[in-house]
Amino acid sequence: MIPIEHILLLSALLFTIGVMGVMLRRNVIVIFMSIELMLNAVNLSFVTFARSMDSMTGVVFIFFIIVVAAAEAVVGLSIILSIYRTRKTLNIEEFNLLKW
Amino acid sequence: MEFITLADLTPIIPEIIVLLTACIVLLVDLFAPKKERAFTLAVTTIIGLLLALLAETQLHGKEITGFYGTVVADDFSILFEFIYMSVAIVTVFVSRHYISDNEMNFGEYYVLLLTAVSGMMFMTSGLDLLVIFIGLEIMSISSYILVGMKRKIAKANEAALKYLLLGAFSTGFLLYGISLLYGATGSTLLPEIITQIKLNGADNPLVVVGMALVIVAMSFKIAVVPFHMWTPDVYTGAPTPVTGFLSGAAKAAGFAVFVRVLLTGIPLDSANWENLFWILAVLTMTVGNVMALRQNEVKRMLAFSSIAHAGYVMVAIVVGSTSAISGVIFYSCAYALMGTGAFGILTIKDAGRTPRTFDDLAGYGKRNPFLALLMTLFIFSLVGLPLTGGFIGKLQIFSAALQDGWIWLTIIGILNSALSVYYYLRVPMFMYMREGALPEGTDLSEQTSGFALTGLIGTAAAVIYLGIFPDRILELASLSILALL
Repeated sequence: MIPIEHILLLSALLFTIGVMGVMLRRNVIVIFMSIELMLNAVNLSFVTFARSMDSMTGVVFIFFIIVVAAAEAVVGLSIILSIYRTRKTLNIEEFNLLKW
Repeated sequence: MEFITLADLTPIIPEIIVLLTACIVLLVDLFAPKKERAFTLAVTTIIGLLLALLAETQLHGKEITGFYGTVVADDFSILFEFIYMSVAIVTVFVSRHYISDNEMNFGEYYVLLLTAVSGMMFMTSGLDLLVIFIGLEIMSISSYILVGMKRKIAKANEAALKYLLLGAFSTGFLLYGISLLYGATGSTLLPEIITQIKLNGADNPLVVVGMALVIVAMSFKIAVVPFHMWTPDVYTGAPTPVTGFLSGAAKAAGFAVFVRVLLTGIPLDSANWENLFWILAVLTMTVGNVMALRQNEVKRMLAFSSIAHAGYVMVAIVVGSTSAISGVIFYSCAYALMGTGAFGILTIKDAGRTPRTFDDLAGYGKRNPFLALLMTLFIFSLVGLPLTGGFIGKLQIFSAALQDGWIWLTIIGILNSALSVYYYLRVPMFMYMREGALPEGTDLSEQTSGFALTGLIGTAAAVIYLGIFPDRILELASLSILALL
């Protein structure tokens, strides 16, 4: 069996990649994907802990995370769609109407 | 093995009422005759919220838990739920004319307000991190949509997008933190987490990192510097009644979770945590106030000042004594009212447009003497002048800080308060002392909607009540803290 440290490390790595993606990428859709990656890294860490402790709580938690991520994706993509309609771009740097 | 029974539903009766109202509003939206639709929707929402408030008073003092101890209706959650629902009621009052003027007069507006409130209520009454997370998400997702409701306006879209991205980003941190806490303690139930931490010590790196991530995520939600970047943009771009709702209710919900997780979650004794919070509190107060100084738009100024107000509440969280935490509750309550009131005034059309910049306010006092008076009252309360709720809130927090010997923190806080006088008083100054040059032929005959006026007068009365008779609320607040500890 794979030692849990390895899986936790992988999950931390995935989470970091997600965070870096949010900070460095410029396209809104890619940023949104990176956020989903962060959530999936969390899922991995939950399932690892649940497995190692033989507890169900973590597994149940994942189902809720998946549902919430789906809901967030629905709302998120519709907001992205409506901003594309008014601005005709998805580059985050051009969304600068609201600045001091 | 016993499964869930009807008795488990008792602690969440108010939540159920709010959610049912949301369903009813959807149906009313479908079937009501077109002429009376807007009015019926608003009234149904208000009645539903009032019923939920009534249910809340019945639960007072009983401290019932349900669903295997994952939700609780204790005095702490009841007090906070009162705040959310009052803010929601005021929001409904001030939004009716605003949403029909801005082509967002959908039944969904009220439904989303109600679901957001129910999310906040679950957040506050949750004792399990899972429940808190779901409540937080119900609130957040509803408010993303509310912020972007004016979907043909580019600024509103931008605000919604920024809110969504940063909100979802912070959710990632929250979840990762929860997963680490779960890994360290084997549970997501707050009381069990604290027993485990007390048993094994708080030095476990999983606990430290997990708690830090949860705190970062919550700091995003209540806009603590350096996690505040979204606040001014979102507050400016969102429809004004929604801004009031977010600044009043959503922030209070964040504070409630903060207090519950910190008080029942980690022991805050270690000096490192205290130093960290000290720095956060000072930064939040100072950055919020300094940035508010240079704003031209009233809404943006109020947005930055709301960051500063979060800083004052952080002071109380640093201090952490019973009287400080009851200060958190009182201040959240007072700020919710005065903030919603101030944003509420900005929803009302004046000389054919809603006031945006300070220059738009010139001559306001002559055109709308009564509204100007109400605005002045809210501003005085935000400044913290005596006889208003804001004064008592600040007094409570800073005197609690002094009692515990946080002298520097108090001095910085009071200096910051003094700084805020400058930009706040610009509002009444422009209203009363500047002559407004209006374009020719501006229609001044417009009547303020009675609906909005009712809400604003109620809010103003509550602000004054809190300023003159604060004892009752303060007593309730400190009792609820004792129940929490």
